[in-house]
Amino acid sequence: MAHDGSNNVLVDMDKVSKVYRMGQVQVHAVRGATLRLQQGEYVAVVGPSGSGKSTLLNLIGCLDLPSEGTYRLRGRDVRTLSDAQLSRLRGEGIGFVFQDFSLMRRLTALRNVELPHYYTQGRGNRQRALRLLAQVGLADRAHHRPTELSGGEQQRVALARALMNEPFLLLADEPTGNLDTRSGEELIGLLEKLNHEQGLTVVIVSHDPSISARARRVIRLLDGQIVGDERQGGDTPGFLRAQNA
Amino acid sequence: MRHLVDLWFALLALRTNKLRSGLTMLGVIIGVGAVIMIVSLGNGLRRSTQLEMEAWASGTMEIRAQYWGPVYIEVTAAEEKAAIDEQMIKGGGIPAPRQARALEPGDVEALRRLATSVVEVAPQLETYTQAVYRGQWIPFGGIVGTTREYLQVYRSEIKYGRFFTAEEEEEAAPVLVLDETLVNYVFGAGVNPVGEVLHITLENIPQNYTIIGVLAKRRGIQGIAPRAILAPLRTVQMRLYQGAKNEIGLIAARVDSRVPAERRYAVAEINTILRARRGIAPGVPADFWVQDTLEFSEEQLRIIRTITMVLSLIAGISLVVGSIGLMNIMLVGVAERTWEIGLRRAIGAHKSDILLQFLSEGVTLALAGGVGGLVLGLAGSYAGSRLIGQLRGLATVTPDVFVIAVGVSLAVGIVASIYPAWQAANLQPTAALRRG
Repeated sequence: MAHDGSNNVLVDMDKVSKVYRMGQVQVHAVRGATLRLQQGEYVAVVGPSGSGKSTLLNLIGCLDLPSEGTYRLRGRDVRTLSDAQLSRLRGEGIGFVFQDFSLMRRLTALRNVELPHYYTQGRGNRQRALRLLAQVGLADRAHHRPTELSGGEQQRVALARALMNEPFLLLADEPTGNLDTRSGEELIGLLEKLNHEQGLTVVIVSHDPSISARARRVIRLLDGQIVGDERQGGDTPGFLRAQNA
Repeated sequence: MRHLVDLWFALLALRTNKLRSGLTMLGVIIGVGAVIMIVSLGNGLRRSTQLEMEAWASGTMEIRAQYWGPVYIEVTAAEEKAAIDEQMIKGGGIPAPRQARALEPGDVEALRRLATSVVEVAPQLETYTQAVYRGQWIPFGGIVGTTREYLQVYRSEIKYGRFFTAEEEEEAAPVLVLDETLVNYVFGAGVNPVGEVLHITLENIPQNYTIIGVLAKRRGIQGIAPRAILAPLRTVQMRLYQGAKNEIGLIAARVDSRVPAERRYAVAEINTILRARRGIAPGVPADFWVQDTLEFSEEQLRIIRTITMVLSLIAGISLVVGSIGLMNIMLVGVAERTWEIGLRRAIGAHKSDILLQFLSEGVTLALAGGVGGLVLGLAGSYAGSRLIGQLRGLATVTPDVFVIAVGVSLAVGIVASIYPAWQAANLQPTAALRRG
């Protein structure tokens, strides 16, 4: 039903928990989260620090596997996938943007953007990387190294990298946390545009109220539990309605 | 070849940390260099010894008279030992020393006629009297009396002049034949000293000895040539010992075969002939002994091999230290770059990509170190062979040196980085991304 893929369910979590063992102590980072994300959604995950936002995002992005419960991504139970299959899934299907940009210092912006392509195809793709850099407004910065770029520019390079393999899911963990307001807004603008125009599913973890205010769906976390799931401004994007009809 | 990408990433990472990469390599360079140096110098030492042995001793058996006495009790027969033990228990002290019986011309003659495995024999008698040339002592020992057969026994060749004639031997003529090495030392290189006169003073009366010939220097000999001054046997017996020592000190017998079994047979044959001639009853220890100089040199080569091995082991320790350094740096690198590993995993790198990347880093460092060590080792052994006269031109670069350099450094690289690489590959992507 939920996982037969016909109704565009991407993420289907059923009572998912994640327990970390830190020495003697067990940390319940996520408790019994049940969550469904449709293709083309634009979701903000909010909550105080330590509430399990990043863990939830890592679970969605298959960087981590649930301790309990089932998580189906595009209908496949991630716990049945091998490490190599998960790697391929991340490389080909999921784009990540991190708070600290996580760019390779010694590589040019262009090479950084190409990086995921090396891992999935064994070679770069200069054309596509240049096109993506142009898309995030950095056509003229392609041959600069991260240290020669501003924070906002670095994060846009990271975004272009996340888009390199044309993912079906974009995950951003505090993407504006290290940016000034203007750069942050530029980035959010880009994410919204991607969602609107290309129907890319976007999940953003953020403290920033201005981000959650603009999201159509806000998931609230507290102590590892989903305590709120609100839709606001409330509908499916127009192109999806057309698709579903 | 998707994984070529990982090699490329490894090279990029090494370029990022040039100083660290260089210092790590240095450890491997020193280790590989030391091993190569020791191996090639050891090869050189072995070869120089071999050449020296072959040049003057190989193929000869040396027969000496056995002296019996309280100082040199060397018992070979069990009965003899039992007899001595009994004597000591009964009292009355150790048996009186048996009178030494020197080697005799008859022994030489018997060996020459009867020993089938012996090509030629040359009797010798040495004196430690020193010769003087224009008021200067001539170094390197005494004068050796011998016969014409010396040339065949030692495969020597005449460079200048001639060897003794039968008449000169018969008359105990005051003539000398010198070795070229000694001639070069005393008279200068390339000088023909035939006709020059050396003085030997006995009881305040100087005697004149004329140089009639020079023996060609044997290939490979750099150091002191043995038996540098030769005189007719009777000259030494009659003139230098003034007739007091009418005997033979040593018989050198040439045996051409190098097959161990045949050499053992030759020793047995010499023993049998001499025992029979000297009338030694069965079971009684011989009053002479036969030594195979080839065996002696084999023994020396074995010692050199052992020394080389021990030194290589020590050089190997520096190699181990180098590998530990490499492993340490790799572990530090993994710890420092956990975020990078996590990022790579997040954007699609497989475990095998991470493993290969770090393995490539370590192996590249080690291989580069191996090449550096090869250069260092070759330079070192070249310098060593220039500085150590005995090894001049002999520190041999054999192909196995290259195999050692590549093989050893490859092994070091893999051994030292497989664990760090494995650790890196098995980092949890999330743990790797969490900074600090």
